[in-house]
Amino acid sequence: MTTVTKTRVGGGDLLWVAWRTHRTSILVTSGLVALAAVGMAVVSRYFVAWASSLNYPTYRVLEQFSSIGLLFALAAGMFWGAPLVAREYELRTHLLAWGQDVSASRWLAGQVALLGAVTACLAALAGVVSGVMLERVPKMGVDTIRVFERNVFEAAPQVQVGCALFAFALGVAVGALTRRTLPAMAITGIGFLGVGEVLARWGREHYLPPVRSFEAWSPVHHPLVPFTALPVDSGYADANGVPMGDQDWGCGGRNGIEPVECLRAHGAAGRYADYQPAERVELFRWIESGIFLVLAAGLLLLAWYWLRRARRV
Amino acid sequence: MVEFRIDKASGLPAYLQLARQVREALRLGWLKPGDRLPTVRDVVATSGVNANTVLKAYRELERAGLLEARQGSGTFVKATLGSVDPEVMDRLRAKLVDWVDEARAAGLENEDIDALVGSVLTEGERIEVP
Amino acid sequence: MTAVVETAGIAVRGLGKGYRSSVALRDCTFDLPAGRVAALVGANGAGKTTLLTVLSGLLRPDAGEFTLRPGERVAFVAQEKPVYKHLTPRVVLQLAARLNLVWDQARAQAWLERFDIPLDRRCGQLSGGQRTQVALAVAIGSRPTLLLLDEPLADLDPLARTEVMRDLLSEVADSGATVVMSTHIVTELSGVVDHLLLLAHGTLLADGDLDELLAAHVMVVGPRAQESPVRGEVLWDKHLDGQSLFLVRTPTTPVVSAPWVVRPVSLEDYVLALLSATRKGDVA
Repeated sequence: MTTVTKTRVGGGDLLWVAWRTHRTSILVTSGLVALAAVGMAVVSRYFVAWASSLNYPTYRVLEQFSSIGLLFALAAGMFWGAPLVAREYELRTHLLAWGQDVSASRWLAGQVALLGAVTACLAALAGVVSGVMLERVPKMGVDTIRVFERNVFEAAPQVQVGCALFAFALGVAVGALTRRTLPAMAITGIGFLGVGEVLARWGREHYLPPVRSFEAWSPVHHPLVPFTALPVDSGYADANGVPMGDQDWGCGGRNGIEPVECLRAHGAAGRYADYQPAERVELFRWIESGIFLVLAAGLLLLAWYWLRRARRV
Repeated sequence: MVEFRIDKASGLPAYLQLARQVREALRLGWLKPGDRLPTVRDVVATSGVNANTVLKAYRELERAGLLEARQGSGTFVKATLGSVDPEVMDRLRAKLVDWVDEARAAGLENEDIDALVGSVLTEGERIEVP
Repeated sequence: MTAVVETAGIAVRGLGKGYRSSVALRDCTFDLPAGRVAALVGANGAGKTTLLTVLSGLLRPDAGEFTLRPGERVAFVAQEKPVYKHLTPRVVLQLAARLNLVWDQARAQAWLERFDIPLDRRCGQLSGGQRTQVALAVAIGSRPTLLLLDEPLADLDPLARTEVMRDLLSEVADSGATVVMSTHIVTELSGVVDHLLLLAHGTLLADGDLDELLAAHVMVVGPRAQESPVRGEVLWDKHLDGQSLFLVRTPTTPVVSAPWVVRPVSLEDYVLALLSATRKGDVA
């Protein structure tokens, strides 16, 4: 008898199947990401030396370099997540994969576990490398950088891992719903960039109640928000320091007259500003990572449920 | 050993075709009492006939008293179908030659004769079917 | 293999499945005894693939239910004979070995070797017929007790068709598996299958033991006439210039007098007659 019998198709089997079907893609991608990381580390080293000799604020260029992590996340979503289920449907190989002694949802779990783990590792690597690169910036004569800015905030392993897993999960879910690879890739790309943009523009500043600073009218203006902080809101406040909202009292500094008197007449005692201080950046990175991970979990659950429904093959 | 063939275009059920081929082999003396028939599996493997069909044919022949199944050792020929007496054979043949001559004289070609014989035979077969 | 008591293999009750714009399967009810080799026959779009996919467990029906033998091991070879094109047959078998509770590597590999399928060439470079063999090898390696085949012979040349069918029948003769096989090629089924499931427009037109079904019908042929000289339900008739044909359901073999003749009904006669009758019915 050559028949081999087992009581259960184990997690190891499912991981092996995932590995054997995606082996080439995993190896090539990992190689490329590693190469890019090493290459960037080397380039940034010389770049820093060259830029400081020019006395040119090149950190912005470095920031762009550091967006490699986001590029990787985008790629993970579009090239691993989106086709994962959609291509199976397109090539009809799901009928082979799910027609054995493993349910579609367990098969999916194996695939997601392996590709998700690889995605997380590579994203963490990208995050570490971009973090290291940004650390070189102060040595270039710029004292501080705005840690909440795009590409700076994200240049940390936890954010990279969160958003790469989110992109991957989005791809998986969209692929399971559309069953077509190309549309799934497009929707995943747009969706990922869109969610990232929404969080960066409108979400991030609300992760924690902001710090408020208030300054009564004075002849000299002091900056209310530290250079490195994330400004949230600002305006006029009354004597108790309570914001007075966006009201138009017609006090705009026309005819060269200081509008202060006019504002004071309306009860404004000074200016206030709300901001998120730079010290919070690590915490904020964890929060953002958490948001991405919750979204990713929800999307994977949706994909899992959708496959289990089996309403169409 | 008998090699089974199924005429797929024939309206005759496959198991009856197999049974008939065994009868033919018995009649022609290719199979004698005590001979072992190929196993169902062998027939399936060599002629591509469904196992249930072979089984049904063998059972049909067992019922007719021509074969017997021996537990664990296979299916064996039990009885023979008496070969036709050569004299009778000659007489039949002579009659057929006359009949063919008559048919030719009436303008029938070989094909027509085949069709006619076929239609008479299938009518007969129909009655064989249980 | 001695006297076999037939046990229920598949029991299907009121199975229905619709898609957004069409009904694929309507109130299908039948029993298929275990160990049968059944042909699932019908025109394109009759619901054959839907029925097989539901039985494979990959698709949920909207209505009805079906029961299999306890512990039934189902293998499904889909119409597309899907295999991973970037992998070799050897690796596809490795995947199947991992994904199945029961796996017979020797059997699966022997199947590929018997049909000269290169084990180490990527499946994308194989012909359609060769990919069919890979898909069949996966099914055979998993030692099924219920084998569902959707158009298994479609991509094969006539010689390969005969050989594949013969070897498949040998495999199931060994294992006693039940087979349901959809096909267009009705002319090659005699002796190959012993059970018929005939579908038209998602509805089961006929099902049962093939010999019993055919024996319960006769083809009555004779001069052009309005009515069949044989009593019984006329399922189909055809009238040519000088000839009329009637397919009649009758429990006993009728006796007719010249110029009428009664012929046994072949599977092809039966299937074509029933299918063309439903087509006429649709127009009317």
